[in-house]
Amino acid sequence: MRRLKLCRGLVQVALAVGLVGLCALCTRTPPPAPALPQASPTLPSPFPSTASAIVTPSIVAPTSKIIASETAPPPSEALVTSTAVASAGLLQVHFIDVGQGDAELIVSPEGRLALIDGGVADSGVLAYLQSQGVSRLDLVVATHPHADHIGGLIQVLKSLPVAEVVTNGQPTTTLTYEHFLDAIADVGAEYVEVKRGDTIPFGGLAFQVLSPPSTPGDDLNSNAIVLRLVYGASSFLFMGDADQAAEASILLVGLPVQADILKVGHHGSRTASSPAFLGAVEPKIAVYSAGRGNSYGHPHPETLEALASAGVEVYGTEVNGTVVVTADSAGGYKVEVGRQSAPPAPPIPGAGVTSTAAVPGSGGPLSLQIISVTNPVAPGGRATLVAHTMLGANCTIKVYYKSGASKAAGLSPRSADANGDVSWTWNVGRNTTPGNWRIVVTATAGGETMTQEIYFTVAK
Amino acid sequence: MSESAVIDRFEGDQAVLLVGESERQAVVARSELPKSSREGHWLQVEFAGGKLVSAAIDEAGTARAKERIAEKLERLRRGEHRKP
Repeated sequence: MRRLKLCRGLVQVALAVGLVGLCALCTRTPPPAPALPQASPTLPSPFPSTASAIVTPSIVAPTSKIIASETAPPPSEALVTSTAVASAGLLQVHFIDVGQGDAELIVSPEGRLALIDGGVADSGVLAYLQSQGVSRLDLVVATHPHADHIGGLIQVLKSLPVAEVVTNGQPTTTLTYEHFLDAIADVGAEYVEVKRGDTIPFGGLAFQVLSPPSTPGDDLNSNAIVLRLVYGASSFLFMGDADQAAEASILLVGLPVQADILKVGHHGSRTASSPAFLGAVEPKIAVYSAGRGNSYGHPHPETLEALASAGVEVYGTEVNGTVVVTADSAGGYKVEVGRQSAPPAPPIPGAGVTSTAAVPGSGGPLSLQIISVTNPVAPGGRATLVAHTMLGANCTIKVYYKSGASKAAGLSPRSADANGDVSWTWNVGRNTTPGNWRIVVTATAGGETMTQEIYFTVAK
Repeated sequence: MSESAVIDRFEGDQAVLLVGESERQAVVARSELPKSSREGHWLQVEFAGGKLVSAAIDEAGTARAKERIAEKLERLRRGEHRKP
């Protein structure tokens, strides 16, 4: 709880500083006025009503060297440019709340669409894209092959036309990764591997690939693709799960890293965001992506403290929901958040609860309660168990008798309905040994799983 | 009941397993896995009441997955999946 409070406090302070900073800048910063205020009445807003702060720092345009790519082809011309979310002259980045995972949607000024990572398989990333009117993607980047980054990309690939998929070429052995490869093959998307020094064209802009190096090591996080995107005087840095070793390697080769907006590495883990790297990036805004109540303690307090002591405004998807940053080419930007603070704390979990998790789109924690079970039941009779969880959660049930787990029909996995209700009815075999037998129910959503147990009695 | 699982990743002292055909996620203490466990290792695991009770590295299963996936990756690299 201390971590959550610290984090919430930080964001409140950050928001306050942001607003105060806005006033200070308005009075201190001399003309010329940036482009954003004039353009703001037509800004696309992903949220019906949210507080937002337009901040117009006066920054020096970073010097960047575009390195010609040998691998990345120009974007496909066959796809129609969407205008659903594009806004002329503005670059928009959506840090999508996918629970414990990463996903960022980038909309170029001319309406090119890129998705960096997709959260876990049931992260809700596709639903978010569709809610934003995204009907195709020019570019999908899988920063590295962990399930909390590529799981959600499988459904995206199967559902939306995707012109090009970019990876670092480092494989893993999970079925999730295999299905990701299968999906690329099935839809016929162009497949491209990148390394440090490459450039990925993105409409009139280009992602600069800062990592992995051309001779990567074994660690999958360490080899995550790190991308820098520069739009005039505005700059973004997307770290994936890159760790401090990757950061040091990037600094060592001297590639430009300065960025106004930083997607914090590895969900705010202490394995990333070294003070030296943060000092070189000099972010004004940092966004981490983490699931509420995740099993790993992300974001770690050390990271939040490092960001706070560097004077960075911090946003987190677990606190703020989806965070959208809209930038113009003059260095002006605007931050919109899905919510201003974390939702109310979840009820104290009961016995058998292993974890709670933020569920994308619901704004609430994953919960699971066993409502009722037939008790007692005679051998040869029928039993029903009713449970309540989150809408759409994937649920399983196991019934353990003396002979082991029941193989009864009716105990197959199923999804909770629109009310979050799920139930199973099954036959208790005639030869079932009488006694008190354990039932284990699990619910999975947003990459997190909860378990509840109950005993029921089989008696003649 | 013994079933297959693969180590997706380590997060600090914890390991994230993807269990069974549906690859449902289970987070377990790294110390509960064999010492030589690495990311990408396939395991034979047994859960009871939601707790991991046994885990053994499946070297043959790991090698099979590695080989199968390497072939698929090579096909993508050669662009054989691109429609004419």
